[in-house]
Amino acid sequence: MSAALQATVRAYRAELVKLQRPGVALSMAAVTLLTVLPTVLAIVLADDTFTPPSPGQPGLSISIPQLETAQGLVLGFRGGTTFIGLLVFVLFTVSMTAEFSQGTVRSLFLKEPRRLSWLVGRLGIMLWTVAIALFLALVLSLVASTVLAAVRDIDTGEWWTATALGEVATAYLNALLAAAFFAIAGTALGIALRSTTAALVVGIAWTFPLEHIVQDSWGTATSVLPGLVFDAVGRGGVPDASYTPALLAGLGYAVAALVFASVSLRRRDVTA
Amino acid sequence: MTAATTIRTGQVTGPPAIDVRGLTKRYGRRTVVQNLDITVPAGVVAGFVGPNGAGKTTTLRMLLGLVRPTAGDGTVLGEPLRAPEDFLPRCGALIEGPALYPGLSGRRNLHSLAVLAGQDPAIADDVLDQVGLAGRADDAYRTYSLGMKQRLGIGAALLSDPDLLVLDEPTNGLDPAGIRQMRDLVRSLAEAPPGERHRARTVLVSSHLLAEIEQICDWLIVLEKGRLAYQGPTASFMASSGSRVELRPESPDALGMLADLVAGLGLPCERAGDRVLVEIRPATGTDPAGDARPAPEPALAAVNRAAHANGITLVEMTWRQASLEDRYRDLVEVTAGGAQ
Ligand SMILES: Nc1ncnc2c1ncn2[C@@H]1O[C@H](COP(=O)(O)OP(=O)(O)OP(=O)(O)O)[C@@H](O)[C@H]1O
Ligand SMILES: [Mg+2]
Repeated sequence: MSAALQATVRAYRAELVKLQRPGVALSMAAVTLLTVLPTVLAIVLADDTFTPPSPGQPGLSISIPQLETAQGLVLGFRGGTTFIGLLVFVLFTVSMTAEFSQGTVRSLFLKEPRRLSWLVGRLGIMLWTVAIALFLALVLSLVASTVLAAVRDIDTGEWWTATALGEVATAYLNALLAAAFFAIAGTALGIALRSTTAALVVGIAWTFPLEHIVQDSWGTATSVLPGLVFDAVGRGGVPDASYTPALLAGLGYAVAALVFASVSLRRRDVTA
Repeated sequence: MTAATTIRTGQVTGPPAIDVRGLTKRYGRRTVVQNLDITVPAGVVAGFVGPNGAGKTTTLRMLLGLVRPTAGDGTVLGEPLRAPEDFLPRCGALIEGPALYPGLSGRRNLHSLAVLAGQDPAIADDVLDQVGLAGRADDAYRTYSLGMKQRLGIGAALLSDPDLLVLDEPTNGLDPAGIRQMRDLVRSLAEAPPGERHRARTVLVSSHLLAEIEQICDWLIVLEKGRLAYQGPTASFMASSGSRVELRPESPDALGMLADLVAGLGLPCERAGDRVLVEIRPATGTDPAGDARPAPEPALAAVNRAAHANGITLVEMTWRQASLEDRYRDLVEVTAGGAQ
């Protein structure tokens, strides 16, 4: 095994030790809740008016006929991916800026000067954690859907078919992909700015108002601007940005962010 | 003579622990460290002193791969300065205060760092014992006092049982007992472990506590405004300033005559109050590696004899050895005037 790979494994395991703290459990709970909440709202608030099912429909305006399709099982979970994406973005940004503001990055680099290996190992274990949290969220969302469907007398005949379970798997993978994209973007932003306040101001101003203002006057933005693209991937494609182009654009952004983060981390002085 | 002046350099042969040439760091247009040549022999306890802002921390960061030098090259533990992955596993360092995770316990903090460095995490417990934190090991770092945090930071540096230990102001926030423990710790580290006589542990410690440095360091590096002001054995540094003898005659009327007598012996002196102050200058051509401080006894004896022969009775004769602080003040503070 090469020295760099060994360093990556060590970083991964060291980060795993760090993850066993209350804050991480809280964050995982938040991810889970943010997914279950849209599920509950979607089913509780669903009305009888028929709107043709479309995967890109904003999560909360769902009709009962939509819920009774094969996609119905996973509609609630899918509706939560936007929130999850933003939460993951903020969590990854802040956890990176905290390494700089607490000065822990210098303690780390004194033990492991292979900075890229550290970054990869750290991202690896953190994304694993996100995958687990998302899986828990998915399971909870499915349970909540089943219970609420029974309460609301929704016909779930289509739900436990192979097609529906395929939809569930796809929805999970897309949510995970989007979360990974947001995680990488947040990490890169944190490495670039190093300050929690600055990174949050820039990150949130960009993903919330800025992208959406641009989107209002320029529809193509949905398939161009990173935050919107990641979100489109998470929802399995939206009317303004179909899945495959969004996935490719998202991958492009993620790779660019990773390259930028690596170069910045490697070259810049650690004065924290 | 202090214990530290028994120089250990002679015992350990081999390449220096640190050997860098032309080390320079510029931030924008400001040159923070300028053309520094530093050699720290293996096996010494080296003190690194200089006023605030002199560039000590920046230099240490460059030596440990945290900050990229603008210019300069060299070796640390025999490995190239620019390849920190080759020497950092054998180093331990605390730079500019401890930096650990507030939400993690002391033990888990060390555990994680040990895993990162590829060590057995069980080492964390030994180290916690060593720095006196065993009783609080499971409390969150956030709840530690300033000195406890500092101790844990030192613990983190000790994890790797380092060949080179770099400590940047390790006594910050420590109580007197902590400072004494720090001193003992550094001394014990510098001694070769039993059965490993060949192994030279080197300590480089920056501090503003000059009395501490004087006690524990046998090698000294003085930095001033980013430039090297002195480098070499601590003893030679102090020797170059000599010492002072204060003479008090029984009768103040004899002061003038006493001063003339001392001057007649070729010793520079001045009158101050009811005393005559005599400078004992360092002998020329002293051995730079040894304890070159001038012995005052021959001069004292000559003065006493001359006074006695001339009917002057001395009621006090005090030898004041120049401290590191005196010498440091001569060298640095007069010109630097503190941080710039
Ligand atoms: N990241 C940075 N950007 C710009 N200037 C810096 C940076 N880091 C340090 N400096 C400057 O470098 C000089 C030396 O700083 P350094 O921290 O090395 O001093 P020091 O000798 O450790 O001082 P102290 O005794 O106060 O710890 C200072 O003038 C400081 O302002
Ligand atoms: Mg400093």
